Amino acid sequence: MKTSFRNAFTEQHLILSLGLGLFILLAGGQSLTSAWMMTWVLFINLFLSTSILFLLRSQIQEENQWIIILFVMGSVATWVQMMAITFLPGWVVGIENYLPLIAISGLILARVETVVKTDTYGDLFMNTLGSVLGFAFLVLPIGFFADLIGQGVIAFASPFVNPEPSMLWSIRVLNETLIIPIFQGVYAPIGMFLLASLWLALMRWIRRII
Amino acid sequence: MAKPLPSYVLLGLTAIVSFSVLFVTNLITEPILINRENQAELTLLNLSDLGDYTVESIVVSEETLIDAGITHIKTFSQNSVVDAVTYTVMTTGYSANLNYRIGIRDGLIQQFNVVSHGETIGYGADALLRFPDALDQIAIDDASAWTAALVSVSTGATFTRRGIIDSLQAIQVDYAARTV
Repeated sequence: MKTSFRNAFTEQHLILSLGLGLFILLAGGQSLTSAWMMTWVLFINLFLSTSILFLLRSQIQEENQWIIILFVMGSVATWVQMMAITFLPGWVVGIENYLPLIAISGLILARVETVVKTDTYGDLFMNTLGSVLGFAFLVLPIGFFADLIGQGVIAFASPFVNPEPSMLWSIRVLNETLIIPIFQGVYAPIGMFLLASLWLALMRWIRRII
Repeated sequence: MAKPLPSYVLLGLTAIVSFSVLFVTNLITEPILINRENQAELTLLNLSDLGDYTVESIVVSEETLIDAGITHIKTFSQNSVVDAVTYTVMTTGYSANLNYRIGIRDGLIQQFNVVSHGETIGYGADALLRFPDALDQIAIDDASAWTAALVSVSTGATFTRRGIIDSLQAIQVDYAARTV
């Protein structure tokens, strides 16, 4: 179980992050909130999908495995999207339409197909946890710094809308003159990719020394 | 170990369970979403409750409205007479994807809410913060009044203002046609 967690945390999350990192670019103005929500959505999707597939694994054969995996993951992704939009509307602003894509990208499907074949449910759970924590270690800091450098604020949205989205807190840290345009609006992908590159380099360095 | 079910049976059972769960979830979530949407419309129209209003969602199909970026229209009528309309607009200012909503009741602009935008801070983004107050309670059929109001609070944000004005012109014509 420990090995599953370590492998997932240090290796697989990079694959997930590269595949899913795009979503942080789509998140609009509330980057930290969007990163937080994407992390939870990824965890719930992976946890539910792999758990269901683990229960079904004695029934899954070579000829039907992909259609079953797709069916289960697509259904879980749709369910999670419905629940998130209904009960956590403030956290899905800007990313609501992309939530199912988190769970049904080719990278995730390939990963789930491998993970479901593990021997114990404990391994499966720890693998999911490690992957999602690794993903969180990438997207949460990027979201935080994108808000800070791009908008000059440390902000987090309320999960509810009444009737419009609002912020739980929004603290202005940088004067508007210090804001860097490459983290804003249509230019945001430039800054996001820079942050992502720096963060991945840092993580690789940490992995080398531990 | 038990013999696996035939693939078509397994797939059929999986489909039945999936559709059932999604169907029940939809039964639970849909009323909540409709209620939230209505609440947002009421706020846009400065109304406390729906009262006798009948709400109708209009499919935007006219080319002039589509060209102006109008994506959603909802009409509010009493005794088959429309006297309030809300519009959702996706126009282009200095950047693309300037998304705003506007509520008009009894011919007056009730609320103007910017949903999202990519305008530049210090220019268009600052002007957008001033637009709601500038447009408040101005008659939609008085184009001179709302144009002047927008010009007075948007120095240096010509493109942002132009995007709004272009769409308001289409809204003015549409509102007049619906409330005849």
